[in-house]
Amino acid sequence: MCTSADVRGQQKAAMSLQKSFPRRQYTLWTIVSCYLLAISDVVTTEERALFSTLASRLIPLVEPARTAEEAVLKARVLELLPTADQLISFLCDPATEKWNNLELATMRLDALVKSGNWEKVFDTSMTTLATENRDDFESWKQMAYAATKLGNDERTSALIELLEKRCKTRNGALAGVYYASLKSTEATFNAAKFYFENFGRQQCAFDDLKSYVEALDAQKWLAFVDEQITFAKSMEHATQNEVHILVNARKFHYLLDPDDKSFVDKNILLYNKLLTSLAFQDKLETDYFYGDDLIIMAATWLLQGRPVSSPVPDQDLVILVIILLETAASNDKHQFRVRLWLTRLYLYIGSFQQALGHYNALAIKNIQMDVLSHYLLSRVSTICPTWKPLISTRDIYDSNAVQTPYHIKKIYESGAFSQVAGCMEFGKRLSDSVNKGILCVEAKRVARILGMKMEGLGINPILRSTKWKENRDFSILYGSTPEETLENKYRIGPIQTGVWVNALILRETIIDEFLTADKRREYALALKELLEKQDLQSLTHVEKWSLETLLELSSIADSATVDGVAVFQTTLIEGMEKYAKLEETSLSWEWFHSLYIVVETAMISIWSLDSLVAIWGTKKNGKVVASIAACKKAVQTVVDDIKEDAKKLKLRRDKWVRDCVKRISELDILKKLDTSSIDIEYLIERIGRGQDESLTILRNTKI
Amino acid sequence: MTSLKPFHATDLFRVNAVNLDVLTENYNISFYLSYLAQWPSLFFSTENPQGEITGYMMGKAEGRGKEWHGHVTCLSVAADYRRIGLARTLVDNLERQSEDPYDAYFLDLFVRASNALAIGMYKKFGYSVYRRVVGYYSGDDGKDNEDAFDMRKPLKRDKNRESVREDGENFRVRPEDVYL
Repeated sequence: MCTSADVRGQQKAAMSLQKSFPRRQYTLWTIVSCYLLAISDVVTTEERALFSTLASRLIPLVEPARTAEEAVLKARVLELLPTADQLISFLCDPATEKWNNLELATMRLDALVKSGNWEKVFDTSMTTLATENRDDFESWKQMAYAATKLGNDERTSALIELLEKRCKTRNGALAGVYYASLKSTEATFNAAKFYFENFGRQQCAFDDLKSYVEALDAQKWLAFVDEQITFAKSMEHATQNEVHILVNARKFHYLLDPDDKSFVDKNILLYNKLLTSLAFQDKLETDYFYGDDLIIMAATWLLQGRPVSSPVPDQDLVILVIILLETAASNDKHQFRVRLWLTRLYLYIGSFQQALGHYNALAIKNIQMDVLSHYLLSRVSTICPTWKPLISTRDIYDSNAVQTPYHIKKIYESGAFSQVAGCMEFGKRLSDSVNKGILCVEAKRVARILGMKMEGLGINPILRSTKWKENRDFSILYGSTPEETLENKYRIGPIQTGVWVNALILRETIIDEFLTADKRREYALALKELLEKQDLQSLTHVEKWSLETLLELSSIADSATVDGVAVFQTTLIEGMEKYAKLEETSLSWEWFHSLYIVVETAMISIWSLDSLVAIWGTKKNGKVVASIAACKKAVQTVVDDIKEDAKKLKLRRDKWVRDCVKRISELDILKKLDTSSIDIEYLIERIGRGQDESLTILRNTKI
Repeated sequence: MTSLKPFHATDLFRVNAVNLDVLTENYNISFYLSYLAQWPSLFFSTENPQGEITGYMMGKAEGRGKEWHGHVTCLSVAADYRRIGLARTLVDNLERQSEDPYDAYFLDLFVRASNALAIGMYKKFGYSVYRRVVGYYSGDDGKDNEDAFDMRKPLKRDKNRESVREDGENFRVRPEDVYL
């Protein structure tokens, strides 16, 4: 039952064990499994109430709790009840507090806050902070909020006294800012000032204060932080603390002064100077240099299209930003946000090999494969079809299928009940990961485009009924300063969702079952419904076209006529020519994506038509067969033209590099950057080579 | 700001700011889940106000008799949140849990003998070198194996401080002597 994540089965098995062998352990298992059912999405509302009640009625059979884990289990069951009284009573009972358990302590505070029992919230938080001497910000925050809600002089005085006593600790000082934010803007300003004066030298200071500072007078705050920038000797000899204050101040400028035309220039000049600083020279190789954030800010400022002193032409913007980031990466090998941005931007301009280099430097593995591989592998089959990274990424899902159920069983046996729900959820999220679905589809498409015959690449059409789970992390690219809209803008197409996966699964299934009429019709109908009824935002225009083309092919398979084939040929060629337009000035992921889909669609079309002719043999109307031959010839001509254009692009590569280097070198922004650690011409040449590799693979595809 | 939170398996999807760091190992699923299954209260994290994980501790309890102890398996803090006391917070909580409910004699960890930064940090926390484990870390890229320091801090159960010694840097043992 654990292996198949069947919670109903687990509950039935546990109940049977408990009834047949009334051991304490089996009663606990029954309670756990009832709880899991009550919180699952496989039960009705009535069943949810039933299993909650059943679990709570079994609790007395295993009291008193013998371990903290059993106490957590009881608390989780009590959480399911309609009112919180029993839960709060249990959590605040001294016998429960004696377990000294973080899970119970967290639940206690949460339950009290939800119940609005502010006196208890205040007193519990004060106990945590003052009596137990545990410096927990959540307790600070809730205590401050409770004091405000209560408006009680005694408690307010106690809070202020503790804040003053602990104002030199980070949590205490930040709690002071939070409390001030509940009072007035002026109080917030003063508290934030105090915080920055004492903790501005820490990298996290900007993140800590960001949300509070946005409500303040921007110019007043910026003037204050600028005053904090001091150097004992000089900027070129800045210490780590001095660099941190400087960079934090610049982050506030980024946040609050988005119209400053000199922002990028200033950041670049500051970065150059800091390359000789003690902070940079003395850092360990495995440490980050915080000054890199000056370059990340400059890069994202440019990408966002904010004002600059000397404008950058659109066609050169991304390459300029790449140069900025490559400079930072060459000086600081382990700064992962720089490398993630480089991976993203290289893919954006269709230079996969360069993206791969930075992605590999991040050494992403195991669970990260599910969460982060999208940075490299989004739409990889249509940018630069590549086999190895795809295959290695899929291992995590096989591992999950074996390891997670095994450990869920271990959790039942060891009595770590606080972990059961989390592990079950973890296993399900990996098993139903949308990234997994995407990779399965992409592997098949890569094999097709590269002409590889790979075993074990079948796609189970039942998969499309999966409720796909989103585990991918897009926000890691935000860092401190970029916004979600920026990450959106430079994404490789719309986010591929469960709809995308289902549509492509149907497409692959139709292709696999093309010659089995009833199955082909069934899946074609399902695909048609999907295209008509579902939200198609996750598909690019050319992806939609390719799916619609497949449906037309399916119709021809049902009833091919001369006219029908002719119409198909016309719409197919029109689509191919529309989407395969050559962009000479700036290659991009979108262009490669369109070209590969056009060629892939041509492959599928020709293969399908050939298969039909082979099946019909001599029985079919000779004129239909002849019209199919003409269609194939027309398609082949367009594909040949595409390949020829790709070849011409490749032959013009040297000129492209020279022109690009000349244009980029003349940009004022670049002239300000110390690029001594990189070779710009070589870098641009590598970009070209990366794009050429995709062009070569395209030209080598066999229709 | 720092809030301590218990760690659950689904948090493994949220540790990228920590685990993208070059020094942080990304273990396989089995490793993480085995710790959650056996020592759930010794695996916890710190979060910032936005609910993002900024660091975590993986600990365990092992040993027999007077060698019954808590152990730091993995302590990792996101680069943006270093040098603000998060490591201290995480270690303090592990010490607290190792005392109650585990009632351990001491807390220990292994650190590369060349890692002066980590050694200095743990010494500030009250740890001392108990012994040098010769060749504990296998060498990468053709380098020789590196020694580890087994650093310990006695907990309140060890009233006579029997779990620590003077001059532990020169007390050499082999890796096989360490495994219980």
